Parts: sequence; structure tokens; C-alpha cells
Amino acid sequence: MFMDMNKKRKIRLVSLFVSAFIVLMILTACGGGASRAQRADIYAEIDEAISRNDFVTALQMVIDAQGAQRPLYDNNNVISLFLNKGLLEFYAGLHADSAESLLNAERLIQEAFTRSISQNVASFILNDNTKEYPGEDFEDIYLTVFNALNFYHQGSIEAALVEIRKLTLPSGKLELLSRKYDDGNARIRGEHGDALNQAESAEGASTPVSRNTTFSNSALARYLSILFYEADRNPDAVRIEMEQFHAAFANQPTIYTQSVPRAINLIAEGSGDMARLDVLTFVGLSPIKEEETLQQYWPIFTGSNRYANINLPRLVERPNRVDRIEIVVGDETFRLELLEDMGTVIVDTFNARYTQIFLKTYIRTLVKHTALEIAQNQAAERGGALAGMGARLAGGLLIEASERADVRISRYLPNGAFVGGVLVEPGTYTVTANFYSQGQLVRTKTRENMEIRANRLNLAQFSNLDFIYAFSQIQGG
Amino acid sequence: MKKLTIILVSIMALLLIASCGPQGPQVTRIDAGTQTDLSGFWNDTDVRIVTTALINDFLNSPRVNQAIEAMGGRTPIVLVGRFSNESSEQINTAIISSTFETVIFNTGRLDFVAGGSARDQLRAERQDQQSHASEQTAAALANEAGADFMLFGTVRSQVDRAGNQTVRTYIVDAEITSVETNQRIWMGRNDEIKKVVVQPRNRL
Repeated sequence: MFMDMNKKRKIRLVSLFVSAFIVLMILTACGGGASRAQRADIYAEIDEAISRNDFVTALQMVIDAQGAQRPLYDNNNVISLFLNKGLLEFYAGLHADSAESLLNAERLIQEAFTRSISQNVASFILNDNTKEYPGEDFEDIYLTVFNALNFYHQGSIEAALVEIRKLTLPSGKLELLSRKYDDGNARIRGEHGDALNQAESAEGASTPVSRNTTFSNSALARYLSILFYEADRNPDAVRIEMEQFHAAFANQPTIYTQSVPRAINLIAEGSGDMARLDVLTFVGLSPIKEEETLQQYWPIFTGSNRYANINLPRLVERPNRVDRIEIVVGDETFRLELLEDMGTVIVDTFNARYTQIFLKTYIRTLVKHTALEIAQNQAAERGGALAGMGARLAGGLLIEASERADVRISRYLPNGAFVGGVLVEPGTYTVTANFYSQGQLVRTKTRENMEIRANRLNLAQFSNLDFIYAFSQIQGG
Repeated sequence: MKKLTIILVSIMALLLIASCGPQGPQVTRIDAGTQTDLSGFWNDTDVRIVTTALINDFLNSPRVNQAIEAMGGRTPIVLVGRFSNESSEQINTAIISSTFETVIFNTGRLDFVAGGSARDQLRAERQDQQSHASEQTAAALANEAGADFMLFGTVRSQVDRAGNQTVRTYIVDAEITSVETNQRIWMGRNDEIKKVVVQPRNRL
């Protein structure tokens, strides 16, 4: 009898080890990519290159890190790879490569609509990182904006307009976004209102929950649309897009808090025999996700199991230092005005999805703690208090290791788009963009020998992703 | 009970392992005429359907026959103009216009002259020959064949979406216009490409 008991205990112990080993194997094998610490180191190096506006080096770093034994982006994060690579290629002026990368990202985002059951099951057991990263709504929208510019820079207004239509036509990305979360969020709020209310008032909660997106019309997309339709000699389309541009400002006061840029009036007024120079500049780096831990108290459990950490992604801003942009062309000097606060758009669209993220994480953590409570009680019943304590410790560690917020995101979207325009005599000019921070000139970018002609599109585009580099030490997806 | 637990654990383990990522690519060669619809976007089958219908329409058009006869025995010369993409997806319209050109040229009813970048390259080469080729072999300047007609076209799309369903309709217009009089001698439209794309919500 005594031997039997001993044998059973040994078998149970071996089973426990084997199970733990399998779980660990799955945890490590599914990732296959660089560890969090490795990613943070690589991102810090890339961010340093970006803070110098050395996009070619930053791009090479991404390519090298992806070719490493443990790649920067694993199989479940290919969309981030294409997004980040495509954006860096854009800033580096490699527009054909950038278009290819961003079109790949777009295709994968569309394919990710079909959810993998196995990955979904895994995400309910472990965390959201076991699922393919499907891309965020704002990523899908802005990659199209950048691709429109990619095709413009390659000399194809026609292809640029194709990209713009993906956003602005009925059943386009902007319209789909406006109706995507309306019903879902209302339903979740109705069914799980208590949990959401509890979370909103939880200790350390700083992330908004259960909010619908207010963003459904992009002034940046409309601005490009106006320019490209004008270049395509389509006045009807210009008129419609102009109306939509003003509607974007009028109907989304929380997104567009500034006044309509004067550059739009300049387009509307016409330029006669003069040539119009339009300037579009991207500055700063957009918010990125980092893990936030909410403390949750569940009185239904016993001992330390009552206290749970709910790890959720939250958006954190990256402090951008440029506060004024001045353009010099010939004898003319003018200041650029904010067209779209892309950071605000990103926060707005992410918040719409946050309800679902929160609820899933909450339920998963609750289930894990319930399982731990049962395991702890059974172990205590069979093996005594010490066994119960051991089970709680082991289970607690497993929960801690498996509960990881999904902080995957494209890291190199700009934070803002600024525009301006001026009428000049047709001719060849050097266009200079001066970037200021608290009154100090921090960077100058020039476009030499730009031919500015009447009755055609003369768009100068600059990117300056200057940001306060010290901030980049935070971890990211 | 134990058996049920083992089965459940095995299923979960299998699902977890299955979730670990895609396999490598598998390549199979198929007949070029096979209909392959993967994403629902514009593809080679659509090009084939549209160009076959439009070219047949063109070749059988009484107005085209009239215009050819009016040339008095000379084969009319056509220049391929812009075949614009006004849809909301990146479509290589050059495939449509070059199919038009190839098929119609091979019927012997019309001649084509080079346009666009090919024409620019030819003009540059001719200019270059004036300095670098021998007098006997250098191509003469100002001796291009003038086009009688120009071919234009447009691809437009209409997209309607709700949930996981998308309806994509393509409208392709083509026309041949007299360079001298701006008179259209032929206009064709194909709007028979209409697809309902249902994207599955789930996969294993």
C-alpha cells in the first residue's frame, strides 16, 4: 500500500514536470523571435539612427536584425516587419521598395480578417502574442496614405489616386472604420458592463475603455486626394474632396482641434499664371504600445490569489521636439500648419478596439486564477499545506510568465502632418525646411533644383522624425 | 474522466502546436488558362475575359469596317494612348492595352505605331544615330508614321462591403478615336466581371 502511494506520487510528479516542460516548449517554440530584452536593445539602436534622421542605417538595422538567428519579428508578426520596413524605406527615399513592403502589409492585414481557431485558442490560454498580429486600423489607413505618396514620388499620379480611392470611396477603409466598432462595443458594454466599470476605476488604470472611434474621415487623405485629382485635371472630384476635407474638420472636433490650414484656401483660390508650391511635412514619432499592469482584487479567491495583475497594452506618446516648421523658397518664407495630429488619430482608433482587448485579458486572467485556486486546493488536500503552497507558487509563476500584453505595433509612423503653400513665379528653386524646437533651429532639410511650374502639382515633401531619444529606451512590440 | 482529460489536453496541445506558424511554400505548375481566384482582386482571368470580349466587339464592329474602308486600301495606323486605372486597386492596365495591340495587329487589319516611353526611346536613338551612325545607315529624322487613330481606355471598379462580404464590379471602357477629327470610330464596354468575395471568419 505504502509503495503504491509512493509510485502514484512519483507518476504525478513526473506528469507535472512533463506538462510544465511541454508548456515551456510551446511558449518558447511559438515565439521563435528575439526576446523582449533583445528587441528593446535593437529598437534602441534603430531609434538612435532615426533621431539622427539616418533612415538608411535604421533600415539596414531592421534587415540585419530580421536575418539574425532569432529574428526581430517572428512568424506571427510579419505585418509589423513589412510596416516598419516600408516606412523606413519611405523616409530613405526608396519608394518602389516601400510601396512593395506596404502593399505586402496591406495584403496580410486583409488576410488576417480570417482568424485562426488554433491561434485563438492559444491566445485564450496563453496571451494575445500567440496570434498573428492583424495590424491596427490606423496602420491600415496610414500605410495607404504613405503608399499614395510612394507612387507620387515615382511619378504616377494615377497609381497614387488608386491608393487614395482605397480610403475615400464608399466602402473604403475610412467608411468601414466608422461602422466597425459601433455595434460590437455597445454589445460588450451591455453584456459585461460590470467588469468594464470595475476596470475603469481599478488602481493604476490610465487607459480608456469602451469608447467608439470618432475618426472616420482623414484630412490628410483628403488633402492628398485634392492635390492628386487636381493634377489629374478632375475638377469635380476636387470639389467633392474639398467638401469632404471641410467635413473632416467640422465633424471631428476632438481630432481636429486646430483651424483649417491656409494651404487649403490657397488651392481653392486658384493660382492663375503663378505656380503653386505645396509642402507636406511629417514630424515626430507616433505613440507606441507598452505594457501596463492593472491591479485587480478578486475576493472570491483565497490568500495571495486574490490579487491579480492584468497586463494590458497602452499607448504612450514619444515626446517630439519640433514645434515650428518654416519653409524658405526664393524670397518667400512661410510657416507650416498642422493638418493632422496622427498621434491623436492613433489613440482614438486604438481606444475603439481596447474594449475587446480588455475583456479578453480580464476573462483569461480570471480563468487562470480560478484554475490556480482549484489546483492549489487539490494539492493541499492530497499533499498537505506545503504541496498547496508549491502549487500556488508554480502556478503563480506560470501565470506571470504567460500573461504578456500584446505590444506589437508599427514603430515608425510619424506623429503629425503639417502643410503649407505659396504662389511663386514659375522657375527652379531650392526649397528649404527649417525645423525649430523652443525657438532653436534643430534641423534643416533642403530640396535642390525643384522645378516649380504653373498648372501642375509641385509638392515638396519632407520627413523629420526628430524626437527626444532618451525616451526610446522603453520596450516595444 | 481521466481519458476525457487526456483527450482534451491532447487537442489543446495539438492546437497550440498548430498555431505556431505557417509552413513553407508549395509550387504547382498549372495550365495558363485555368481560372484561379485567390483574393477576389483583378487577375489574369479577368484580363482574358475582358480583352477577348472587347477585341471581338471591335473586330466585328461595322463602324470599324467603315473606317478601314474609308482609308482607301491603306491600312490605318493606330497609336495606343492612355489606358487609365480609375479603380481602387493597383491594376497593370498595360496588359490590357498590349493584348489589344497584339491581337488586332496580328489580324492585319490595323497597324500600330509605338507611343509613350517606347517612342521616346526610339526618338532618342534616332537622334543619337545622327552623330554616331554612318550616313548610309542612320535613320532619317521626321519620317515617323503618323497615327490615324488613338486607342484609349479606362478600368473602373465599384466595391460594396458589409461584414465579411465584398462585391467587386469592374467596368472596362475602350475607344478608338480619329486623331484628325476627334471622331470616335469605336467604343466598347465590358462590365461582366462581378465577384462576390466571402472571406471566411475562421480557419484552423
